[in-house]
Amino acid sequence: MSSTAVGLGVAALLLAVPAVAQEVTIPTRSPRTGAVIFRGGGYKPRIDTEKALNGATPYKDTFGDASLLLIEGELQRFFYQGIGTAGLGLGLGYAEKYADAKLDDGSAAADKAALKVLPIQLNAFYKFDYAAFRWGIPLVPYAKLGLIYSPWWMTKGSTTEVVEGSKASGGKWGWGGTAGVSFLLDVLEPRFARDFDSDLGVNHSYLFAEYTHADVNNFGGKGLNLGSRRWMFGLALDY
Amino acid sequence: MRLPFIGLLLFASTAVAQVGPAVSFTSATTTTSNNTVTVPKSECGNARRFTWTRTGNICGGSLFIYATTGTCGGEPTATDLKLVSLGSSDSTTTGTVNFSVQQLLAARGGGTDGGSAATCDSQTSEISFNLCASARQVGGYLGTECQTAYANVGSPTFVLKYDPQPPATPTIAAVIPRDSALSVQVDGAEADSTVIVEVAMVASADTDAGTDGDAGTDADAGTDTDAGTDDGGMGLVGSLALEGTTGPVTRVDKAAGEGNVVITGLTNGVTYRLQAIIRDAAGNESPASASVDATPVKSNGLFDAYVDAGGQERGGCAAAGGGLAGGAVLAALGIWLSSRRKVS
Repeated sequence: MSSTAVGLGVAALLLAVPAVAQEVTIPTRSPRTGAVIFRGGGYKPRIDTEKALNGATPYKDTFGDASLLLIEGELQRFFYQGIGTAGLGLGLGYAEKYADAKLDDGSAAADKAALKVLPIQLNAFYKFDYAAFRWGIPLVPYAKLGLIYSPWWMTKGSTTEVVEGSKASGGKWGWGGTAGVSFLLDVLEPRFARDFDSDLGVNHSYLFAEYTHADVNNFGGKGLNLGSRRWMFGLALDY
Repeated sequence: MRLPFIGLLLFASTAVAQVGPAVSFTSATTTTSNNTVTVPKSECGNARRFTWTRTGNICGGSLFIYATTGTCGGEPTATDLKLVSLGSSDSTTTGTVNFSVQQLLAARGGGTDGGSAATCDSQTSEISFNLCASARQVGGYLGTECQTAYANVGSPTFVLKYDPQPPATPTIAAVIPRDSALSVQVDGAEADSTVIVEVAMVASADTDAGTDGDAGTDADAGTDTDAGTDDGGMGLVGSLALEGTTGPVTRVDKAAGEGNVVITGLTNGVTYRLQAIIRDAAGNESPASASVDATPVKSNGLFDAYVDAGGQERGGCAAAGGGLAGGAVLAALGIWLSSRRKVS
């Protein structure tokens, strides 16, 4: 074997190594099909606004000005990805609040009174993430409009209350609109974001704040009003 | 060469056949993890039943099954309660023994070398008896000889523990009036015991608690026949009459250390008399505590306040319909979302 041939072989090998290395490090993006969202915040139902109460404030009398702690999870599915992203979401939450029950004279009783709510929401959403992906602006405004169904129940002691033969449990329909803005976390750690995608399929991560206007009173029907005006905060993961 | 080998083989097979006896016991009574049957004073005269099964051959002498306060092994003494005696020719391989603590205590007076006889009443301290089986073992140079000494051949060793001491008298430290219920804090319960609270309506100066002015009306304040019988999950007993009460006595129990005993299903505005008893792990019950009177009071939760204020919500069937609709939507969307069809 001539020295020329050996030299050509070594040169070919040296050229091949960077090529292989380059192939491994090419960043890849997995397809984006939906999102998982976790959020929490204070939820103060507008029970005291019911007209039939004539200004009475049973919620405030029981719980004061305190809100329930609402924890929600939501799954979203993207139907449109172009100038922004649009799709449908399904959310499920849980909120509860405890306070001392009251004696007839208004003093605290030994029993605990509680309100528990399990809101379910189906919504359509749009988020303007075009600027974030196209120009690197890490803020993504979005809006949602949805149908809400909220099972609820009230307990005293360890049992559901029964008053005048009526059991304190039921469900209310309503609607809600939400506006918010997300901060794209990928800009803080781009490499970590790429690894998150390649390892777990999470394309983007966001922290967000949103404001919700919800009317949950059977669309103006009589009875409990479980609607609210609330701020919520959370984490969203596109997958 | 062949003949000595055959002889050795025959000899060996004989030796294998000479297996000493072994007895296994099972108890018809629930035992603790260490095979102990605890007997309270109230059950001192009740017979306990054990089944035994023998394997192996009895080698000379007898196989004894007996109960003793000593350790198992050796022949039973005069102070032990002999239950079964099998001779070497006896082919019985299984049987049952029934005996009570009362018999065991009486047997202890049968000899001069043991303890003294006692009765269920005179025995005031805790005492334990072992259920044993003993027989002569096979041994020697060739392993075929009957030994002269007896050894323990029974397993497991069941222990019959007689516990005649009742727990100390408890005290009712506090009674918290609740809506249609009373929450009772009982002090003085030892570990592994059960706290029992008995409750009955206090008899009024008139006829009963259901007719007094301060006890509500006849319809809602409880009568002799309905007090404590609603959905409180309680049993009714009449075993212990509470002085000055009327109607049935309700008994509610709870394991010690698990918080207050809550008696539900009571009538607001009616005064009830309570007393507490402790039942230990053996089943002995303490004397009753001093009685305490308490009255459940109505309290208002959010729904009470809401309805009182004129709120029109009544829950009910609409909620069920909505729940079904919501569940259907949830299921449909769950299936849809789980399809995970890639869009881009």
